[in-house]
Amino acid sequence: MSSLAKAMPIKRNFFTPITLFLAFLVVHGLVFGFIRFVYGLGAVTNLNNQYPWGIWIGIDVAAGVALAAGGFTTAALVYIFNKEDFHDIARPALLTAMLGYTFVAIGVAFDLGRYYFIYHPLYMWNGNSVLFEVGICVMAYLTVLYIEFLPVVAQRFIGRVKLKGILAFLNKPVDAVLRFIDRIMDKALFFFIILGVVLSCLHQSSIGTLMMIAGTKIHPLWQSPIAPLMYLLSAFAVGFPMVIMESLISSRSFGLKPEMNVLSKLGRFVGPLLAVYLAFKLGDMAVRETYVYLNEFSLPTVMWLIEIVVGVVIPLRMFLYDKVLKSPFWLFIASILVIFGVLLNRFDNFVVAYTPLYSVKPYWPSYGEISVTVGVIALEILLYRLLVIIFPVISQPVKLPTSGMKIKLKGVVR
Amino acid sequence: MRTTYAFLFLLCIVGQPLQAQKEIYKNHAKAPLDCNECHTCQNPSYKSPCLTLFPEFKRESLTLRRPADEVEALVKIDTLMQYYEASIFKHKLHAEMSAFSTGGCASCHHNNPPGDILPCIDCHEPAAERENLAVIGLKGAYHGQCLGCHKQWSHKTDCEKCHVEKGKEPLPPTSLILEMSQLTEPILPKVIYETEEDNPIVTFHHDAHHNQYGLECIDCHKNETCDRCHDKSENKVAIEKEPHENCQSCHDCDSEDDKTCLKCHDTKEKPPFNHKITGWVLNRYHEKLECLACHSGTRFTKLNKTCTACHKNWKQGSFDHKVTGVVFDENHEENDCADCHLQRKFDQKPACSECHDEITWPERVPGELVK
Amino acid sequence: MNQSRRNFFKTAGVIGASIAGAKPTMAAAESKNILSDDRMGVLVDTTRCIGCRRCEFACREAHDIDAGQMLDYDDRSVFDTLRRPEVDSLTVVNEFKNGEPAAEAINVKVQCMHCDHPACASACIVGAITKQQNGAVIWDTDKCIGCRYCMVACPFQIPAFEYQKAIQPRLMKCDFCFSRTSQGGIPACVEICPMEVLTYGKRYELVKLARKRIEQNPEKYVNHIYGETEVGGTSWLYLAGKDFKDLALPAHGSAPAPGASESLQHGIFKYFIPPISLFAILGGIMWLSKNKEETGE
Repeated sequence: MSSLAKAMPIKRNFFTPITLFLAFLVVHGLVFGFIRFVYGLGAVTNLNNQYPWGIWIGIDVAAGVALAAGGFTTAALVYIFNKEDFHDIARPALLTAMLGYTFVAIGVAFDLGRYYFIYHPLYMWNGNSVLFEVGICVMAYLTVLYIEFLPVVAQRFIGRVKLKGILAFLNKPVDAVLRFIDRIMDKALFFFIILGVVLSCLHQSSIGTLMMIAGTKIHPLWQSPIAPLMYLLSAFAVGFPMVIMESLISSRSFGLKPEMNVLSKLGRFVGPLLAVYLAFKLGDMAVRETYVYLNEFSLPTVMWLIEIVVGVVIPLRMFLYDKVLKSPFWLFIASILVIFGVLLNRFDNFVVAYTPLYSVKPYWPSYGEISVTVGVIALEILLYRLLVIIFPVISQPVKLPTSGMKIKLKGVVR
Repeated sequence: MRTTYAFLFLLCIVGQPLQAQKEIYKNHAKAPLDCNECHTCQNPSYKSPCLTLFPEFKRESLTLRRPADEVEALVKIDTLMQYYEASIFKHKLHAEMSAFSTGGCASCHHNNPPGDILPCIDCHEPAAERENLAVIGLKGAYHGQCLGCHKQWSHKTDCEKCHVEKGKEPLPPTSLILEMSQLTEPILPKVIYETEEDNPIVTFHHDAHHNQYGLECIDCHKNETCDRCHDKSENKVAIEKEPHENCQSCHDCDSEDDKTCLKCHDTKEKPPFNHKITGWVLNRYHEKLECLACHSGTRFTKLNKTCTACHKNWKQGSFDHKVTGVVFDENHEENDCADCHLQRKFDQKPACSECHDEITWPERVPGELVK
Repeated sequence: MNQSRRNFFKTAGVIGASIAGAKPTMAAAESKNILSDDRMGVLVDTTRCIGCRRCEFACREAHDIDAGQMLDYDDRSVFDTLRRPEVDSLTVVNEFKNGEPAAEAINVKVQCMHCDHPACASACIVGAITKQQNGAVIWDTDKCIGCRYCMVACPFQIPAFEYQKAIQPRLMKCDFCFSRTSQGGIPACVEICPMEVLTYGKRYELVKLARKRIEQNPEKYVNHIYGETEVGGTSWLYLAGKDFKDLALPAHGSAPAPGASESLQHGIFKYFIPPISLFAILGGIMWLSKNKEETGE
C-alpha cells in the first residue's frame, strides 16, 4: 500500500457549472422518463414490433455492464492477484461499478414494459433463458457490490453517527452495527470479492450470448458462436481504461495530481488484453469467413471497421507506447478509444447488427430515448461526484503521515 | 383330336394369368397396395370390411347423366348457416353452363361413384372436426366449387353475391343472374382476327354462324373455362384455344391446298357469306332460313333447284297463295296447283291457256295483285 | 449441412463454457416444455386461400379485439402493402403476385407458427411463454415483465407488444385459441375459413395429409411442407404452389431456433460446476499470492 496516500472524502463544493449542466440533462431526461411511465414506451421511444430493443438496452444495459467491468477487473487485480500497488484505484473502480450496475438496473426498469414486476425473475425461473442468467447475475453482483461498499460507509460514519431529534437514541445502535459490519467484512470480504469476479465473468460473457438467439437477424459480423468469449475478453480489456479515464477526469475535476505512477502501470495490462480480444475477433472472422462482408459498403460493415480500427487497433498500438503510458493526455485518449470501441461494439451488436425479417422502416433512437440515456449517464456522473465528496473513495496524499494513524483506522484501510 | 387337347392345355397355361387378374381381390393383402386406400379401419374382416365409399383408384366419373333441363332449378343451401342466411344456388343455370365445360356435371360432381349423382354432403362432412381429414369438409367443398370459377373471373371474393347477412332480405334471384350476365364479355357480331399468314385477315361472322348457319353455342363452345367469357379483366387466366380447332369441324382446311385457306384468310375484311355467289339468289323468304333448312349435314353441296324438291307438300288449300302477291278470285280459288303451274313447275310462268284462250300471265291476273 | 453447423455451435458452446467456466461440459439443448406426440397443428394450404380475410375477423372476435363489420374485410386494398401481425390483429393475410400476369395471386395467412422448440419460450426471462401439450405456445400475463426478449428471439417475427400502454402492456400473439383448443374446440380462424384453407388436426396426420396432397397434385404444389422441419418443426404447416421465400416465409434450417444459446447456457451452468470451479481457482490464486507476499516479507 502506498503509505503516502489514503482514501478520504474530497472537500469540494458539489456545484460547479458542469454539474449544473449535468443536472439540467438529468431533469431533461427525467421529463421523458416521466412521459414514458405515464403514457407507455410507445410515447417516448421509436421501438416497434420490428425493433423490440433499442438504445436503452444496447447502451444503457449492454454497454453499461461492459463499462462497469472496471470493478471486477480491478478487484481481481488488487485482491486476487494481490497487486497492492493498485490499491488506490480499487475504491473508485468499485464505486464506478456499483453506480454503473445501479444504473443498468434503472435502465432496465425504463425499458421493461412492466417495470413493477422487475423482481419476478427472483422466483420465476427459466433456466433456458440467457436473459434470466444475466438478470440473476446482475442482481446478485449488484448486491455483492453494495456489500463490498459497506466498509466504505462504515469507515465514513464510525464514531460520527450524529442523528438529531427523536432519532438521537439510535446513534449508539447504528454505530454498533457499523462497527459489527466493519469487523465482519474484514473477514468476509475475500468471499464477496471472488464471488463478484465469478458473477461478472458469468454475466459479462452471457450478455454476448443474448443476441445469439436472434439467429439470422444479427449481422454475421457479430453473430458469432464465440460471442460470449469475446464479450468477456472485451470486458477484461475495457475495465482498466475505464478506471484510468475516470481517475484522470476526477483528478482534473478535483484539482488533484494525476496518479500517473499507478495508471501507467495499469495501462501496461491493457495492450495485451486488447491484443487477445483482437486476436479472437479476427480469428473468428477468419474461421467463419465473415471477411466477405467487408467487401460491401453498408452501415454494419462501416460500423464494424470503426469499432475494430478506432476502438481496438489504434488504442492497442497506443497502449504499447511508453510515451502514451507516461502522458496523462495520451493515456486518456487511448482509454477513451477503448471505451468507445467496446461501447460501439455493444451498440452495434444490439442495435446496428439487428435487422428484422420484415422491416418497415429502420430504427433510429428517438429524441426521448437519447434524452433518457443521456440523463441517466449525467445522473451517474453527478452521483459519483456526490459520493466521492461524502465517502472516502479517492486516495489523496496524506500531508502528515504518522505511524499512529494506521492503528486508528484499523479495519478500514487494507 | 390331339390338337384340341393341346390347345386346351395351352389355354390352361396362358389363361392362368388372365384368371389371376380377374381375382385380384383374392390375396390382395399381398399386393403392393396401401390398405388405407380401401379400408377405413385398421383390422378389416370379411364381415366388416369397412370399405371406403370409393377408393382413389376405383373412382369413376358419372355413369348416369341427366340433361340440364331436367335438373333441380334452384338448390337451397342451408346446411351451414352461422353468419349468413341460406344461399340459393341456381343449379339449373350452372348445369346448363357446365355443358360448355370439359367436365359437364362432373366438373362439380367429381369422383362420383358408379350409380346416381350424389349431392356434395354425401361425401363431404359438414362438421369441421372430422375423422378423415383427407376429404375436405362440406363448407370447404362448397366454396371450393363456387369460388374455383367465380373468383377466377371476378378476381374478388364477392361473398355478398351468394350470401345475405343474417336477418336481411335476400336478393331476388333474377337480380344476380342479370348481374352475372352483364359480367360476360359482349357477344360481338363479328370478330376480325389478324394472323401472321400471307393473307392475314380472318373475318369471323359470329352472329351469322348462330342466326343463319344454324349453329348452337355448344357446337363450337366446348371445353371452355368459365372465365373465357366471364372474365372481363385484361389479364384473364383463360387460354385461347387453337385457332383452327373450331372452324375445321365444318370448314375443310388443308394446309397443302391454298384454296381452302383462302376461304377464310384474306387481305381484307370479308363480308358474310352471301348465297348470290353460288348463282342462286335467295328470295326474301329463303333468305330468312337457316342453311340447314335446305342443306343437310355439314356438306353444303348444290341442291336441286326445283321448288318441289323441297316443297313437296304444296297443294291447294295448304298453301297461302297470298304470299306470292296474288290473291285468287272466286273462280280460281278451288283450282289445283297443277291446273295453272303445269307439271308443278312453280318456277315457270303459270299457263292460263289450259282453260282460257288468248289470256296470258301476267297481262291478266287470276284475281287481285296485293302488295 | 445443418447438422454440422449445429455441431459447430455446440463445440463453440463448449469452448465458450470452458473459458467462462472451467470444465467443458456437453449440454443438450433440451426444452423443459412439453412436446406431446399427439400435439395438434394446422395445415395452411395457401393454394386454396382466396384472401377473404374472414380469419382476421374471427380471430379478433375470439380475442375480444374490436372486429368491426365482417363485410369490411372484403376490402382488398389492404393487400397493397405487406402486413405483419400487430397488437390488434394476431393474424393477417397477405397477397403475393404469382409471377405471370395472368395467374391468380397467392394469399398467405400469417400468425404464430407455434414452434415445437419455441425460441420465445427459451428466451423468456420468467418462463411466461410455454409450449403446451396440445401444441399451443402461449403467454402468461401474470409472469411477463415486458422485456420483449421473446420478440428478439422469434425466428418469424410474430409477437407484438402494446407499446402504447403504460400499465400492464400485453404481448399479443396468436395463442392457437388456447381457451378453445384446450377444451377440445378448434381455432376460430379454422372454424370460419370458408375455403378450408386451414385444416386442424394432429400434427403428424397433417404432415401425412400434406404429403398426400403434394403427391396427388405434384404440378400444383412445390414439394416442400413449410414448418415440417423449419426451426425444428412447427405446429403450423404450410403448403404452397410457389417457393416459400417468395411468400415472405423466411428460409430456416432444421436446427431449433434456441439451440446454440441454450446449450451454451446449460454448458456454463451444468450443476453449477463451472462457476464453483472458477470460484475455487480464484480463491486458490488469492491464497497463493497472499502467501507469497507473506513469505516474501
